[in-house]
Amino acid sequence: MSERLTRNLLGTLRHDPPGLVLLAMVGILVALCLMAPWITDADPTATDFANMLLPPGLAHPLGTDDFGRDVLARLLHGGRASLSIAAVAVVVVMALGVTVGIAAGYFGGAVDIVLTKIVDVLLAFPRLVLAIAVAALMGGGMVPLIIAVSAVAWPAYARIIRAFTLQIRREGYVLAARTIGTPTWKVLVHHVGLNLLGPILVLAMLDLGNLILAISALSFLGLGVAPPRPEWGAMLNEGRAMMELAPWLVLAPGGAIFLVVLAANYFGDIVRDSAEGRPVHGPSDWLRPGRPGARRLPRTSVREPSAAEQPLVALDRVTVDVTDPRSPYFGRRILDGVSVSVRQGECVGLIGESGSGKSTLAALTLGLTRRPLALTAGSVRLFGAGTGDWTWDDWRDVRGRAVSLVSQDPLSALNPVLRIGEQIGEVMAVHSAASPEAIEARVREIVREVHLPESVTERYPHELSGGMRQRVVIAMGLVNRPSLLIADEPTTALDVSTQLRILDLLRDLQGRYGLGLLFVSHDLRVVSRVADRVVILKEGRVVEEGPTETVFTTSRQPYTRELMAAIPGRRRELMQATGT
Amino acid sequence: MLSLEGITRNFGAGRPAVADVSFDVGASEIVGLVGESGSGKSTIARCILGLERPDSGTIRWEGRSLADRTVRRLARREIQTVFQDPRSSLNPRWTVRAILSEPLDNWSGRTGRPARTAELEALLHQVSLAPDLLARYPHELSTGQCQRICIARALAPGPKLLVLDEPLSALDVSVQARILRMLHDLHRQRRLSFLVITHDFAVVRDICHRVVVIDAGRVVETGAVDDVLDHSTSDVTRSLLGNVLPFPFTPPQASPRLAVSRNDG
Repeated sequence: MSERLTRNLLGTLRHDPPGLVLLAMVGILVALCLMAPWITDADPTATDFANMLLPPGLAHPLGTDDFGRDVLARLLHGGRASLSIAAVAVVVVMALGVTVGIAAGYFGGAVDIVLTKIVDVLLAFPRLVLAIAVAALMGGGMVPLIIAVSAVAWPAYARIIRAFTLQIRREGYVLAARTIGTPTWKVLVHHVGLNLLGPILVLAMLDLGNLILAISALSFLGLGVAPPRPEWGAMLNEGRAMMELAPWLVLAPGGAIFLVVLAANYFGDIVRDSAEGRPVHGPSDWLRPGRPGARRLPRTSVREPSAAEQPLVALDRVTVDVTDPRSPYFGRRILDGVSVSVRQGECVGLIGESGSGKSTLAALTLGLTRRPLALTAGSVRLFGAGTGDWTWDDWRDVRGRAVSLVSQDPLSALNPVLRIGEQIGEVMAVHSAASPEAIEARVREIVREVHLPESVTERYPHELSGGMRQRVVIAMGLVNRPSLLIADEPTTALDVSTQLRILDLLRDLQGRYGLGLLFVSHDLRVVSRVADRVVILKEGRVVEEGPTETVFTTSRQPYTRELMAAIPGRRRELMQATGT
Repeated sequence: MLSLEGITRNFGAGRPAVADVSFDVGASEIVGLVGESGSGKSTIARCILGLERPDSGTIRWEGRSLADRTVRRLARREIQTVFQDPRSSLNPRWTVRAILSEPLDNWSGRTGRPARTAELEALLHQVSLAPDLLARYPHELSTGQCQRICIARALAPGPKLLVLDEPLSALDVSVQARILRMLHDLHRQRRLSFLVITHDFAVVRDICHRVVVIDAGRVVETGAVDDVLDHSTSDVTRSLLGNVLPFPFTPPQASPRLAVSRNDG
């Protein structure tokens, strides 16, 4: 289990009292089952017809059944059978599913086809019916029960593990291991297998409940542990006839199954959430309904001529710190008294290397600063209004309408299952009450403006090239005619020639819409092509700022000069100059 | 040393990803393989690394065909690679020690821990990293440090040729310059050959001796860097060269807003 998973898991449990209580109850139940012989000296199979169907009392805490056997003893001894069968079945299922899944996913080709077909055929049968058939064919008993339950459960795992393997197989480190000559079995065990451990554990947890139910169901049908030996499912079946006369016969094993299955499912959910990272959530006020009447930012204000006088966005000596003590970077200062402003019709280039805080700054202008980060000093003014007391709704109203973001990776910014036209239209529909026809007309117009053919609206993101996707993202950003566009490394993922066209497009649209553009990048070449003014950021502080041309031609700042010297194509001179 | 003769690779229907590509890389030579994305340059790299088999054509390593098992085994050791994204090419659950030990275990057998530690520290020294990084995990390192680890891992088996697939594009500019400097030094000290795969002519100009330009799976031009960059005979090369972003950029006086071309790469 990875470190992060463990940390998340403990963190989640600490804030989840019902989960803790469930876990504790199951823990006690399991411990009692394991220590059954020491807790009750009653023999679970000894019949005593003198004491038939006694209600719960001092001598028999859970009463006796129709053979006079002690129900508590049977429950605890039966639990040993039920739980150990479930445990063995989980291991068998995992071993089979993981082996088949990894083999199919990693080797592909004929191996994949054969294995997947077998899995598909098995999955075509109803799970329980197949298990009953297998168990019945093999006769009752513990071993056939395990085989029957495992045989029907593993194909589902194989399929999921195969999908995970397909992903991991394409990871750089698996390719790298192959190119440094690591034998295939080692690649499979060390690189693929160990990285699947998280998902495997989650799956095991989630399905433990199902397996316990399946085992109980089979035993209930008399296909499991042979009587008179106790087992929870079998006990349910035995008690069924006397349900009205002696309800404790059904309630005891039923309650035990219920508790264990509930806890397994609940715990599985927690493990899954921990493995998949924190759930998507907004700030604390996100649950409140929207208040369309209470807009702090009148729709017209940004278009008024007076708005041109003041900056669209003004960051005034902002300081951002890591304030969450649980973060490994607790106490680190990300931005330190940075002031940046963008006026209408102006393009400001924000230059910085990784870790300089430039993306944090971009997030700040969109109200997207999240734990573990927090604004600890300074202010962010958007369109002349202070944003200090803005709620989630205020930000949501502004984002995508008055200020938009174009991010680095266009593919992850687009929904893979929606057509391009729908995605662009959605951005508009969220913010206006325009008719579907008006939206469609605007979508066609904006698509033309970013120089894409209109037919693109009918296509899906995966059908487009990287450059076309970035144009779509730009179209989504501009569809509501915002006055401010934040572009965070918008060309980094693209080819050089495509970069060039996207930059020229941005520059062109900036002029047409009179946009304020905050262009964030580490590449001086890219910034110099679009920016009127540049701000150079290093380790959270502004090192230099000024008109693009002045900074790039006459800068005296050592850091700026170092960045300029590092530009590709100029490095040969640098190397020669330093005598390498 | 490495020579490709008429390599062709098809992926299903349509035009082949790589068609009849021939070029070679000499001993201690730095060759640039340049093309836009989708031009087939990564497929060529995968063929050279044995991650994929060409449909036709021969790849020779020191004169012997890679189709031969023993040659392939030799080449697995002598041709090493550094991928584009240093973060994803390091197993996130492994320490630097485990990552760098893997190729050593594969090729030089197991040794005692003190001897192994000395070997690992020597590797780190080669890529100018401190020895105390051995106990760290990739997520604790900067991207530049990750790329250095990747290079150290590639150096571990004692290769003669390094295939560098866009080795700089994931890095910040100043880190790029430092990594480039380091590659330059490695080349001088170890007399290594490099095959540098990139879409950026600026990178080629910085370190390569010779350049092979490919477009739509075919070689369009090949020659010494200065010849190709300054006196190209190919339209493809010239258009790629035209895409190098000038710096500092001065907009044309007549029309500050540039014409926007209507198609995309």
